Amino acid sequence: MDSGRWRRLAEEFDRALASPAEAQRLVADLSAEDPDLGGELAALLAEAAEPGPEDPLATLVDRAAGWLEGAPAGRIGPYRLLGEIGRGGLGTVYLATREDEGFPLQVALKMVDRRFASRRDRERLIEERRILATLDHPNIARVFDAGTGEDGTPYFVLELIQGEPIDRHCDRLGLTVAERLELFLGVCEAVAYAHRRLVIHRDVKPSNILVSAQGVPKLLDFGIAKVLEVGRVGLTQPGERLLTPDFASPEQVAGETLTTATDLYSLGALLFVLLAGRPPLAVEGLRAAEVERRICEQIPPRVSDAAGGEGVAAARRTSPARLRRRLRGDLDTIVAKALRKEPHRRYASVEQLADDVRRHLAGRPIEARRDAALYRAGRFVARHRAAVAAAGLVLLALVAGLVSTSVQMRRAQLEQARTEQVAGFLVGLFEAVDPGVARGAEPTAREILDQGARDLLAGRGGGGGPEVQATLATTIGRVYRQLGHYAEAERLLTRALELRHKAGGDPAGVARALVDLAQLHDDRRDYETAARELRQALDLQTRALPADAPDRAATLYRLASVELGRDNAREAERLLAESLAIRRRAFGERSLPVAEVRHARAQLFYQTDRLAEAEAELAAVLALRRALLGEDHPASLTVLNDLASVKYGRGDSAGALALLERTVALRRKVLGDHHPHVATALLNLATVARQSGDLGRARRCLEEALAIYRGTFGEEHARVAEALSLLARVESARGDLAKAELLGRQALALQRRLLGPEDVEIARTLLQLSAVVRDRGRRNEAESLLREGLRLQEKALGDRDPALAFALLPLGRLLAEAGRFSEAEPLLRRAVALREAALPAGHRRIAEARSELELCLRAAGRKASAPP
Amino acid sequence: MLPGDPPAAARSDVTGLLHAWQQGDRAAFDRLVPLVYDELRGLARAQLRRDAGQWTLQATALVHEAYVRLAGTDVSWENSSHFFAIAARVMRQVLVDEARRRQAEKRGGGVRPVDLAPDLLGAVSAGEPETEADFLALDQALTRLAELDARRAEVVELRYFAGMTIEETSRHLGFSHATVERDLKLARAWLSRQLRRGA
Repeated sequence: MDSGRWRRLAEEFDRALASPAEAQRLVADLSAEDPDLGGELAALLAEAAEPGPEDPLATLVDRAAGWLEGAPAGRIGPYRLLGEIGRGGLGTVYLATREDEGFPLQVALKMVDRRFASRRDRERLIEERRILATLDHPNIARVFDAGTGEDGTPYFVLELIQGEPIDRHCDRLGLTVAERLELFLGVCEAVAYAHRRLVIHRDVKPSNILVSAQGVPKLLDFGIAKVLEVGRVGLTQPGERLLTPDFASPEQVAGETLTTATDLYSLGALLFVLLAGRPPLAVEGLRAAEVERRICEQIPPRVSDAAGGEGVAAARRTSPARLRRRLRGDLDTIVAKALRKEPHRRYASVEQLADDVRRHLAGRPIEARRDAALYRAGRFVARHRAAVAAAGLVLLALVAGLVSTSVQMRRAQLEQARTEQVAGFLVGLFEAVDPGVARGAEPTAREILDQGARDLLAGRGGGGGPEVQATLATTIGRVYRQLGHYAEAERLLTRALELRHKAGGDPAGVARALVDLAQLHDDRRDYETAARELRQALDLQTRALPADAPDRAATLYRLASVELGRDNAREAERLLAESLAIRRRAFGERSLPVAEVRHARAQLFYQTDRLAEAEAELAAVLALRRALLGEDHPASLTVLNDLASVKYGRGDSAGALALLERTVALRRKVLGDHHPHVATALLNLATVARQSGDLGRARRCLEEALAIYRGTFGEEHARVAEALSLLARVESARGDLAKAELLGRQALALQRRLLGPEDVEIARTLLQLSAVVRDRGRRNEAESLLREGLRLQEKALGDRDPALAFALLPLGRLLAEAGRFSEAEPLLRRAVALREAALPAGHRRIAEARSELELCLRAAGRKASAPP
Repeated sequence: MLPGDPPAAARSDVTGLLHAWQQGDRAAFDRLVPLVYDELRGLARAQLRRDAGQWTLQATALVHEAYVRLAGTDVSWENSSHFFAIAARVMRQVLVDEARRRQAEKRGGGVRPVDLAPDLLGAVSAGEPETEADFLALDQALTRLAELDARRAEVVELRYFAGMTIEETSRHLGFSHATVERDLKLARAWLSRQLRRGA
């Protein structure tokens, strides 16, 4: 039936309803004109005339709504669910066993209720699974396995802990205060370990700590745990907050930024319960607002005052009076310090809390004295101002070494390791300066930096003149830059520049300060400012230095890379040529500085699609580095890899494959099998292998690369996401859609966390995932993935970019296949228009888009009205 | 804020998006859909928790509760009817997804419910054997109807999936009460016939 005939049918139907007497005649008239339509009208009128006892459509819809009720299935992946162990807000934990391989072990399996799980719940579970996978500690429940059910429900499998919550365990066994403290230290170790991995638990409480039959406390339920972003100390809380009032910190209740200090508070509350037998604040049964007020304002009683009753004392094998005495003093102070309302006034770390508990157990004086660390840091710097200045010079030399390692590390994005290294190095330095610094109270690196920065910015830079102060400011500024504290770095580097001017404005010194600032802006991708500063530096160098000065060539080279970063290829090429000319004169043709500039030039050619030139340039660089450094030097290997990319880009898959094999082999030899550079080469090899149809090989390479990345960086890393995403493509090409989807989703979740939810990189993963989801029959979901991908692309690329067609076409096809032609058509037309506007006439991508549109129009039952 | 209330952010989001959509912003609709979808699924689950097994759930009850939670009550009537239009579409989609999932499960590709001691996991719901196919057939017929006659298809959606009364539907669409009633009669008769024909 077409819409014309339908309209006719509807009109006659309405008319017949309006005047039932004429119905018969209307049917007859219509039948004379169009017998089929007449028959249909008669049938519809009959249908409408005899409504059944109930509306069958309403019944059907209500029955379908009933599906949303139901019980979880009894099996997932290879596991059989034996019973429910516990149910939290975010998922259910089952007792489970593995069905195959005579797996005798019983395990705990956590999953979201598959029928009701919202995307948010699933993502949270996956997040928990991912967090747990990065944690390997005797006091944290171990993850054995993880997977996704055939219906896409994510789950993970944990060590089954047959035990009871820590408070019940302590009371049942009648543990003494000292025994309880020992157990508490085990919990501290788990939390401290998590904090070192940048994980905040956010829900430390007795029911999440089970004590195993062997008496080992195990921290469970990372369901609302969060990973701190590298370089950030706090995390803002999402709109929806889940918390347990007895153990939640004030900042948690108030919805403020959370740091690891929130877990410290919860540990304090836990310790309170273990010692006094009741939570620090009585909030049960109160209204939410009152709970919030008390947690934020009411100071808890001293733990010794709170521990009163006979029962409580008996469970600690003592009398009430003795218990109070036992708790008074040290333990009052320790608990109070952990429970401070202001996060910064609690212990600075879980280790410090644990240290104080240990000191107390050993009968040594505890360190819980307010703000001792900072106080001492201030005094330390005051006492040793000259030493700090001198240390600054030592620092400079060390930092110079650090900068070069950190370049490699940054490439590996090991910011955390770098932070710790820098911090460790600085602390070590100051410990060396002052052997008298008391354990547990040494100023942190950051405190020293901040103190030094304050002094310098206030013009109190030790005994030295502006020259020394400038050097110090530069040094501290660089360290801040390394740590990612860009605002502080900028203040100090700017200060260094001022000081250089003040010191007499030696052009070479000023230029160096400018180059430092430029590097900071380059890091922040503020290319415009970086370029301006480099040009100023270049001006100064041009005036003050001989034309052939290496410093000038270095600035030219750096400026070129900034210009390339802002897509200013022509200018970059000119600068490189100038830099190259200087270096050729200064170092000779066969030199490493020349090879460096030519390598940059090859990158420029590659970026501007001049692949033949890029290939020639890279071949030359490779020859130079081979001769000067040897073939297996990392710098030579980088070129080998680049050369393969170019060959691949030129369609020479065989050539690329051979070079990549060589790269992998050499890197294995030089770096060992587990180095991330080996993984990168494997990734490239896999890409080429996949394109040339060797899926098995592509998969093997990717799996190995993935294992290497995970081993090196942990789960949370852009490289892991990249490898997962590539592996998803290979699995999809091999036809294993379930696996492809799982991998794609993992990649997606990772990318969202690492890049933020709006990054255009995510669009690519979304498009790829949508194809898999569509092939698995979940078309609605595929549609929303495509729409999200399109939105991200539009946001990043604007609405004119032909790349949008990669989302528009599959979306249009999907809609057309669902019969939603009127929605599909404009999308497909837009894809055609974008490609026609951007690509040369006759390009195969245009033809592809057009044929998609034509198919849609034809399916819609209309003649193709697209221009031929 | 403690657990239990819907996130304030989500609530104001919905109000803002509804407003934007009403002003003709198509993108707002697309952004509303996932919010509503999540909410409906979440509600279904919460409902189960609350009533521990013995509860009846109607599509329309869910949609109404989702509205109260997401949009609050301080939204003008125009907004609420727009919301119901979205929720109806989403509810339909939720149920289509569920029907497909259940079918896949029955075909053996998916995770199969096994017999478990009911005291452990609660009774495994058997479900009417034909409901999935019937429901998918209804969905397809409704899609076909929408191609022929968008208005009457919308009336059906509002009535059955959002539980709007004929009065509300007519106000929302700007037609007379009688028109909506007639539309519904025709659509219902046609859909019933399609379903029987398919069976």
